[in-house]
Amino acid sequence: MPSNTHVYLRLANAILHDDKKANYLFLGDYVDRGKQSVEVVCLLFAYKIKYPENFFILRGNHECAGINRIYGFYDECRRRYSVKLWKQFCNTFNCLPCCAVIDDKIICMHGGLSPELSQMEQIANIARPCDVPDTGLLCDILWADPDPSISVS
Amino acid sequence: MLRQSSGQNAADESWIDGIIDTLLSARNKKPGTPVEMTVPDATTLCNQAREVLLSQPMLLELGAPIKICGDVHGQYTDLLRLFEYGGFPPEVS
Repeated sequence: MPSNTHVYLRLANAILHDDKKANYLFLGDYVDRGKQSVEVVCLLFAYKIKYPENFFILRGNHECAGINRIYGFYDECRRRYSVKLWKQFCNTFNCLPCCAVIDDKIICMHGGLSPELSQMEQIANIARPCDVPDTGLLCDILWADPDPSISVS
Repeated sequence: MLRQSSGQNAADESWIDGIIDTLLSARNKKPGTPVEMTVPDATTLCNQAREVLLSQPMLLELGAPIKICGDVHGQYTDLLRLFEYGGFPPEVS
């Protein structure tokens, strides 16, 4: 048995908070703009595969073929690998979750809320794989910006 | 936190460890040095990630503490620096 208070405190902390693990949640936009989108996505996918219960990646509006075709990821894939590999990345992007809730209190998404959102089940019920539509709930979750004109009643 | 077995066998486990080692090799190199993946490895990453992602819900229910990060946008050096700061999975720094 550990014999000093610090060890007990650390053990208690580990049990209460699982602090031996560095849990991560990424909020999307892994690709485009920078020069090493392939490395970024590969490392995030690799950690997701290796630590599925401690490492989480949400979808951003750039994890969409129509967007990253234009803003850099497609060109990087084509230059360094192939268009076929770009399509494979996009197929996996179509399977990314779009929202996380932490301890039933903190809602996380790349964009923001949607006027169409009234119950969280609506998000859970979005079927995958899916593209990002031009309008509607999933589009808003990935694209919405802060709006100071909206207030909570 | 979600509870689910990863369903990986020993061969998959050593394969993914090798991929992670390869990707992390850039830590000791000049910022911006590319890490070349093979197309079969990258394809397998896509396929396995897809399976894991689809085995979990579209709406994740997670527990604190958790480190939340955003908008990496292809800046691999920044991503590595972020893990240097927050701890490379699965260990905290």
